[in-house]
Amino acid sequence: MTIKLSDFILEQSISDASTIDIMLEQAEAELEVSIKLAEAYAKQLTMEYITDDGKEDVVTEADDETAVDATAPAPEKTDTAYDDAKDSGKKVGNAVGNAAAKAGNKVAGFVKSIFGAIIGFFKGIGGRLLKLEDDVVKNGDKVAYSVANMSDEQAYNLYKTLEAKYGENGARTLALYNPANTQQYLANLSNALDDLSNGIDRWIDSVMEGGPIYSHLFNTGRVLDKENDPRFKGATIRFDQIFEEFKNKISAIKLTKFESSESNVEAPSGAEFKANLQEYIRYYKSKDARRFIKAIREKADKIANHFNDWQRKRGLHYEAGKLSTSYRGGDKPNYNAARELLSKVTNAINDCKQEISYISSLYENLKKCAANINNNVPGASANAGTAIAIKEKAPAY
Amino acid sequence: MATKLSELMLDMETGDACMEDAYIASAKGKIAVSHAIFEAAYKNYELPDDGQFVCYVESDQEGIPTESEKAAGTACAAVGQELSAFLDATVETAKKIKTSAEKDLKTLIAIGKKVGVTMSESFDKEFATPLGQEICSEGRLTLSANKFMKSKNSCKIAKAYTKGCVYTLAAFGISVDLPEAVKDFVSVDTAAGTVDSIKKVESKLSDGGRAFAIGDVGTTNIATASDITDLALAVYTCANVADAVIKACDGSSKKDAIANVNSFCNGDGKISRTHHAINGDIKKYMSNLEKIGTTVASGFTDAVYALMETISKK
Repeated sequence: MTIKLSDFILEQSISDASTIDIMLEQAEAELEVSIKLAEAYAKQLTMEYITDDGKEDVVTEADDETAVDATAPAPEKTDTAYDDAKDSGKKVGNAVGNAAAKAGNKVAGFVKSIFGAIIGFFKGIGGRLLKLEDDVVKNGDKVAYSVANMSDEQAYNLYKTLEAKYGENGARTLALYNPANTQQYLANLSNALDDLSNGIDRWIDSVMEGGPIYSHLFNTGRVLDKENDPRFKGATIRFDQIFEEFKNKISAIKLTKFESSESNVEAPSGAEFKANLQEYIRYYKSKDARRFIKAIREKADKIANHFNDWQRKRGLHYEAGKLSTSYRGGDKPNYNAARELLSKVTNAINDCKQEISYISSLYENLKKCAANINNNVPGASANAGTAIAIKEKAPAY
Repeated sequence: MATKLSELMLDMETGDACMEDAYIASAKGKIAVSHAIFEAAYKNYELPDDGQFVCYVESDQEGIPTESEKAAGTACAAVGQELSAFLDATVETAKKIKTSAEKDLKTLIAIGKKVGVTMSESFDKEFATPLGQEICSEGRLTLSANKFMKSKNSCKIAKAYTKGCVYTLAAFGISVDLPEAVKDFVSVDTAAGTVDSIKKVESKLSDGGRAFAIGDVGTTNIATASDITDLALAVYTCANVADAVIKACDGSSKKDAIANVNSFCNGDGKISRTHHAINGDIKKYMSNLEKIGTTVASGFTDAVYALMETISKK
């Protein structure tokens, strides 16, 4: 399909909205809901843990004689978490098995939600990269055309505009225009995703087949004696290690962000800046760059699909329930292990969210630069009125 | 039902995370997704039907209509989804606030017992006012944590929450039945009136969404008698308003209200300025609602907890 520049500018003059935004918002929402669920589970488990172990003295006041009369004006019902904790505390005293099952179910619920969050995260990465690629396709020619028609003076003014508008980030933005940096960013991201994909493969394999603890549980469904069975401890460490590894893989992407130390770049002359812009655009418009971005998106999608496949084939609910049994002891629920797990995985997911923001920032910077170019270069203003004049000069693509 | 103070304190100390947070996040996500759908459909609506545009190719793949009339229908339906999600978020936030404010109230009652003030018929005159006076009988109280709220902040939050809820529910034609004590504290007309056009929805929603905005809320470690009285009144107000919101949206009333509002979102082949205005502002309103929900749930609780902690050490 050939799209005229005038049509493109008309389209952009209305808004830069894209159907990809819908997918991105969906992924973000899934991630947020999963994290909120995990936090609610974590609070419940913490309260049950403290209630169960009789550690009320960790709170400031344990004056049981000041029992509060819950009649008016305070409504009669207390919150669910509180009731759960209190009920659970009683059950631990009276019927250990019920409380153990309850803790197991909470961990199962958490594992389920966290898988949802992980899938949402990778969908988000895939979507953002798709948007980046999409924007390059859309804006590449427009930006190239604008820059090619810029005088050195206009280029210098544009640079100063960026610097004034973004302060220190102006220099960062300048660094972004350096194709070598961009290329390195994409290369690092690609490598990190390769590592992550391999790590996840190994993780799933180890969960499903690797450790004796899991095969034992899958084969027999027996509840182990956590104090006396060394396999329980081994499995707990293994599970934690796996998540730690996962977090490290995600954090590896962080290395690719643009550090503030890069702001020591000297301001370029107009001619240098223009040449730099042209080099950047040449790189971004090249088939190599587009292939690179596509490949990264495919890797992100592959990871998301891998999780989805695993979920579908194995039955996530069933597996989550099985995994959670490793957190049930023979005598009472192992709240501590479950809480540690929640904490580690929640941290890992929050790190993932941070990485999403870096990727967004790359994309947003690209958009800001494109917008500045179009707002500051005569003849490149993105409004439908000038579209006709540009149409006469610009080639269709 | 009697509640142990130690258990209340434990609940407060472990944070305000609750299942309602997930529902609120879900409603927020629904608003964001619907907003994106509106934007994509609006673009198609504005462009000539016979042009060749990148967004048409994308829309075909994603099932967003490219023909103007149908695109208008999709955009307006998205506004309907945003509205219903905002009502969901308001109700779920009310549930979160109710739970949290009830814990705060129970703790305040326990503090009252400690200083010899007991609850009776009139919350403000016979409990809140003497509570502040009794605690500060020897002058201002210095708290161990810098988490207390001055009167101006606690009152601002309670009034903003009350007005925000009343106006927002009015946008859906739902009246909120508030106790007289709350009406005395916050002067607000609770009658919803008839909602028979999208313009009326937008006007009342705008009042509600803006009313939820509270700006920055500072904290202090110094409490005066009136600060304590006003904090108690603010907690009492929020608990009752939240309860009233939940009751007003109980049963079929929420469903009926959403159906009524959605009937104004069929588009008729056009996207009105009003639909555009709702789509443009609703994310901001959601952000205001989210902030006030968090502030009541954690800010009030932190303030009450700090008070309890200090009084226990005296």
